[in-house]
Amino acid sequence: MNIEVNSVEETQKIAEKLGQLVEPNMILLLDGDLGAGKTTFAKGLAVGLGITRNVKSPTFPIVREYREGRLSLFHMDVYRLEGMGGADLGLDEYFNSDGVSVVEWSEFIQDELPDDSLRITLLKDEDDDNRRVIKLDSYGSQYTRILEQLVKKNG
Amino acid sequence: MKILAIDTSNIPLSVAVLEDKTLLATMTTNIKKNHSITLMPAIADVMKLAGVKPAELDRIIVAQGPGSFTGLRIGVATAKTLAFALDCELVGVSSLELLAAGISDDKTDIVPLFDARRNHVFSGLYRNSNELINELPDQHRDLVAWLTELKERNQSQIFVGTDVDLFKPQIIDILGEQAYFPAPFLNVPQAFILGLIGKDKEPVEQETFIPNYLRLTQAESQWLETHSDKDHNTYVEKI
Amino acid sequence: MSAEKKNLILAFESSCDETSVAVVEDGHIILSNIVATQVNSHKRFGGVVPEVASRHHIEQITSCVQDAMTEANVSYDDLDAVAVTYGPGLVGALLVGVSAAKAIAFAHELPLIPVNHMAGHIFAARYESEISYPSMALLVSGGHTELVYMPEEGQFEIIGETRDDAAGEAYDKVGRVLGMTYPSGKEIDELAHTGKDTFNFPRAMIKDDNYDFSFSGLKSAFINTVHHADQLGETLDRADLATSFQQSVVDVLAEKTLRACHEYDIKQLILAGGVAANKGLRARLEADMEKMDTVEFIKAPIKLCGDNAAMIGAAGYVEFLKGQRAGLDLNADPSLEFDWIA
Repeated sequence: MNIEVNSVEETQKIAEKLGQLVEPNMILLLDGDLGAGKTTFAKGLAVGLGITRNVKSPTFPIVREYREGRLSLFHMDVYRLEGMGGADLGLDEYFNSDGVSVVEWSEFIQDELPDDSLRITLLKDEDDDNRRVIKLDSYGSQYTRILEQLVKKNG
Repeated sequence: MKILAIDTSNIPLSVAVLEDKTLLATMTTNIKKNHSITLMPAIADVMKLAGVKPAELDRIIVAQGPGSFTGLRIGVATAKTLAFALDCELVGVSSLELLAAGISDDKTDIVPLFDARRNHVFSGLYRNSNELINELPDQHRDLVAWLTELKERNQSQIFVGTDVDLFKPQIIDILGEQAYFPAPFLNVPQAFILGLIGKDKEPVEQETFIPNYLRLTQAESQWLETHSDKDHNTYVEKI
Repeated sequence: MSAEKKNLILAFESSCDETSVAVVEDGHIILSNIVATQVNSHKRFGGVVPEVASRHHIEQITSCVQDAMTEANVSYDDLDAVAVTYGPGLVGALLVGVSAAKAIAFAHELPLIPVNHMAGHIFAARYESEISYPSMALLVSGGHTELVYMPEEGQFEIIGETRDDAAGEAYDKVGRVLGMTYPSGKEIDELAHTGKDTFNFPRAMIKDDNYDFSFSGLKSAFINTVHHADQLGETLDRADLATSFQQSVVDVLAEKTLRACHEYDIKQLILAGGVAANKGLRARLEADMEKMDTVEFIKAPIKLCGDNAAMIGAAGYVEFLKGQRAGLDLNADPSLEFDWIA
């Protein structure tokens, strides 16, 4: 499923709606180039989960934990691990928890990822720096269900 | 000789204080609680119960790996710094050997084993006739390949460790009646046994002592695929 | 405690990619400050790899203690406390320092002082000058960009921080686009002194009525500029790119910091953290602060801007005097933060 957005705010709105729908133990993969708006998307998701704290880039610490919302949010960014993989990070603990895991640059740790997930790809527009296509691909029935609900919600 | 023995290689944590071959006090947990919270208070408590002051310790023995990287580092960093600060002997013992030493059956191969994720294990092969002998070194292996190799030995084999349950179907599938499983209490490592094994080993040099991870970091091994390990500057420099 | 009694603290720092142990007297005299840096190792990977960092820490830890004690010419009996960084940072890396510090505290019955790494950065400035309160600190590093208000000794309140990327992180990401090796802050800083601000990148949130920062938009603008030029087959002037980028970062940091200095009744402004070594930022704040004669400007010494245990000893001394103690169950807290001001 593809959604076109024309601003940061629109991206955040979609993410917020998704944040209201996600369920415990879900894994969202967030892909896109540098500056495509991955952290922006994560911020919207956090709002949807009822997290009020500022969601900052997790590039430096690799994982940031937010435990105040409807569900815990584990925001990961494995950008720094390109070409190295994530076998030694102990990410399983997050993936197997009751929280929601969001992984930026997930292609760098493909081997560590569970089979089922929702992949969110942010595609920049060549001509318009504000425009994005948000591509949503579900792997596993629970994620397909979430996407159907998102379509309804998004009208 | 007053001995402190520590194992934090995996989920179980075990600490013991010995006077030569005699156990004075011990504590073992098998809960999912961070070892960094539990270990130092456990050492303090066990030593207090044993009536041994830190300065009286002659030797510190630590399970050196393989196991969880973080768990190993907590145990080794603690043991190594304690030994350094108290100027006493330091000894490292294989975490797998520790489990094997609990099995006294001399008729069978002993295969201690830890989960290393993605159907890989840390394992080795031991035999215990009068003394414990390591027949196949501790290694990081694909489980199926390892079991297939073991099968060819045509020996009865006893699998020991808290993770064995996880792999039981595969073990039985490949080894059939060749495979045995010990009484459950033998699956949990005991620092008392660690002390008994380590008391007769040669002390190591403290400064260079590190865990036996038995596996390179993924970053390192991928880097080595395209680079030579020689011709580089020192990785760590004191400035 | 008699007036002449000196307090000696053995301090540990292992939150990221330096293993460091120091002996500090009365919180402001460095007797030794051993830093084993792993940067050559992580350069191979274009950034700090957590498991690699942890492994280096455990290789180095006791040798650093040995060197620190020898260089300071002290024995355990001379020490009054052990201080250690317990967060924020990489959890596996922090655990090595925390485990070692606990072991020494236990072995020699010394009090254990937990130290916030970011407080450590601020107290690096203590080696430049005494700190008088209330005070304000601009903390800029690879993982942090924040304005911290200190009403009195040992109290830290965040009044503003980055909403997305830390300033140091933006430097590294932009450096990567320019094909520089990690860490690229220093290289960009040097290049920035040779070019002109021709690209006029955005100054995000500069006029907003708060003390927050944002560097993600700047990073995107930079990337888009380079990307569009690539598409057209043009090559942009690297020096001008670096200057324009740095100017944008420095403008926002300086303007917001100055506003905070005007609006809070403070005696000092402290510049600290890894990015505090940036020459452009130091020069700009120096020039700006000269016009403010009510507020003294203190910069952490350049050689103490990076991670080191001397700064942990300085911050630990304050906590020591306050009676702050950790138990042997002290754990690493990778997400440790100062409180937000109410």
